[in-house]
Amino acid sequence: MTKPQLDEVDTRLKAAGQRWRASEPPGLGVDSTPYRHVARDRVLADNGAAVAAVKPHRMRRRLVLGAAIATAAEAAIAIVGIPGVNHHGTPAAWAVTKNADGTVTVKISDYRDPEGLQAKLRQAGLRADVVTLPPSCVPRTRGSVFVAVEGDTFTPSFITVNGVPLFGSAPYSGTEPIRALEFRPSELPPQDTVTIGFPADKIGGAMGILLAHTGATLQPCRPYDSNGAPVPTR
Amino acid sequence: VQHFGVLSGRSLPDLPLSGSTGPDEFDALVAPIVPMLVRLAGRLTSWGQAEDVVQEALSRAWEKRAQFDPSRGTVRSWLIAITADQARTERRRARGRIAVVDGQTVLSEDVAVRATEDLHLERCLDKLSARQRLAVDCYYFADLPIADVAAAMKCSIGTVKSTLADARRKLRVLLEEAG
Repeated sequence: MTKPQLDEVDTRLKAAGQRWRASEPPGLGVDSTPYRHVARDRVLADNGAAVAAVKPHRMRRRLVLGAAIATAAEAAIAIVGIPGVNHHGTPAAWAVTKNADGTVTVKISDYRDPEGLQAKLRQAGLRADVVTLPPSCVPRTRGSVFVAVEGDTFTPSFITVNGVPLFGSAPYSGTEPIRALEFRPSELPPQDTVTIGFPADKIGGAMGILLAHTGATLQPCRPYDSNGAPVPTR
Repeated sequence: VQHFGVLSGRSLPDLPLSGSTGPDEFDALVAPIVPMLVRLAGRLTSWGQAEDVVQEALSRAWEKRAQFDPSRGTVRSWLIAITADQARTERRRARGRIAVVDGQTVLSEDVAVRATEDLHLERCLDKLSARQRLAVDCYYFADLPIADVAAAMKCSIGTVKSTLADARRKLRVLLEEAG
């Protein structure tokens, strides 16, 4: 392998790194308040003072993102799925909205009816699969790209590849436990499909969003414990 | 009490770190490098998780401050190592919750070129060894100096350089194979 060939890789990595850094959300890490609160609480705990729960404060930048999703929702022209009450009289689990700018907004309040959601998303023009994920699965990343996961509390993640917003984003809706996702079908790579994974454990489970080759199949899962450590298999 | 943002970009204050370090002193000590730690955590996890990772890493650093040994490195390198560890833990924990779909995607050229190139590269990066991936993430994406990459990898500067060289060679092959 020649030096110019390796230099080319070096140049490509540097360029990708620059693009990724340019995608850093503004203001990240600027506000130190949560860090100080954690430190303060732990000092109090060290001193034996009454601290109800010494737990890290989750940092939230969700209002800004929530505003973005609200703007998109206001521009909606075609409602494909309607939140509220279905014909059984129970609250709808999700809602799909096709917006005037071509984006598709999905709001999920409950992990029910994945087949119905998949049909609505496809009707809205998004090539998507909605599946139920087995609990506690180890990822198998051969060729696929992991784009977002819902944590213990939903973490908004821009769906990007090296910082380039590719086909959507996952802004926080502002109201737990609704999960709001926004997709741009026109920018979805033509041979790829968005896979939204509902957790089998509907209470306390996490939703995963993946970008994978159309027609790919779920890989066998290996159990993980609550700390993310692999559980030995026999 | 100074905010992290105010101190951003300056060098670390010459403050000792020990079990007697108070919260405000600790705050001032770590403030200058918080943006860098957030960037590192953002690369090793995601932007959405970065602040939580750094927050937890700093909490752990605070709890372990009495264990800091200046003869083994700087506060900066110590914090980088803790943040990298925390990011790995978070990534494992988060990914342990999902299954990922297999696929060998060949992207068409009519997708935005930049996004396609990066997606292509990202998929090749996934095929590097964990150590090579960490080195590339720290050096090229988080933009850490080699010495800081060594801190994150808990190895020597020479090892970082050779790991990066190996990663570039492997990437070259992977990129060619993938077309």
